[in-house]
Amino acid sequence: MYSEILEGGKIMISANEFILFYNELFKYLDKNFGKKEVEKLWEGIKNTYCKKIEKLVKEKGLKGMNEYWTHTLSEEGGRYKLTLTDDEFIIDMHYCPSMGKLLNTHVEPYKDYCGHCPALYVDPIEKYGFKVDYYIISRDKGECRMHVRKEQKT
Amino acid sequence: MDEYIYSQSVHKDFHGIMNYLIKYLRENHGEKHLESFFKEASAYIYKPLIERVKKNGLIEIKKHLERTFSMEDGKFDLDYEENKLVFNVKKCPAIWHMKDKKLEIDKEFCKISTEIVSAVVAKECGYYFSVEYDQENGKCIQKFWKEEK
Repeated sequence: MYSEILEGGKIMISANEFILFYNELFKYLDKNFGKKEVEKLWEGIKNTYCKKIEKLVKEKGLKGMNEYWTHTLSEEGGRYKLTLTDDEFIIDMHYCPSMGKLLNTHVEPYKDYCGHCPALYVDPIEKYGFKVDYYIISRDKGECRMHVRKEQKT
Repeated sequence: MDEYIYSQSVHKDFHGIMNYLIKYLRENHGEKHLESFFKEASAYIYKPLIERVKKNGLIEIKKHLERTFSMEDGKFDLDYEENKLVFNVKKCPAIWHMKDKKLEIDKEFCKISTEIVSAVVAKECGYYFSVEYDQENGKCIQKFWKEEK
């Protein structure tokens, strides 16, 4: 059985204040137009910016997911563990670099800030025969889990 | 900005997403909301910096710009006096990152970043602001000043 575990603990942050503006835009759209407009924005970002992950999942499956998040999280930072086996890919996020940015500044996180990740990543993965379960463990601590497994054929 | 921001490294791909958000807001909600959002968000996000400038003067904007642009390997000159700061950007890291990635840069990317965002910070701190920018070449000259009484 193949398995690989990667643990990361470097704290890095995105380009300047991006995460803060990102968060504030969610709040602005929700306040002025309702939650559906926030979800529409997430849909737009997914359709524009998730082609890379989709391509990796299509071509390499679980290994593609591992490749994508190994690269992305090594740049963005945070504290996490990635687990890859023959049948599963798991991200155990112990301290999300994105939420961490909000928690360490005066900026109040959007009430459903964590919702943007499943909105972006679930569809591009499930499209290719996988099942994704997302668990928001603690928004206040930036802790969550994404568990991907091959869909059972009935 | 909160001090935490300056202790971190950068993930430049977010410039591309910021570029997308500008375009998205304009296309879906119009210029009025595009401008309104960035004005409101800037006044809130930069609140710690604004407070420091009110207390210590333009030196705080100088420090902020030096730190931010150095983190992203931007090229710039700064000419600073007590009530005047000229920030000469010779190579904007955001524009050049997007050019390297061959992204279509929104026509108002520089306008949003300078005329709106920097102008809000300046105004909140009690300073005048002007900018001349050359988005195509990723250059601009931003001026912050206070009128002598």
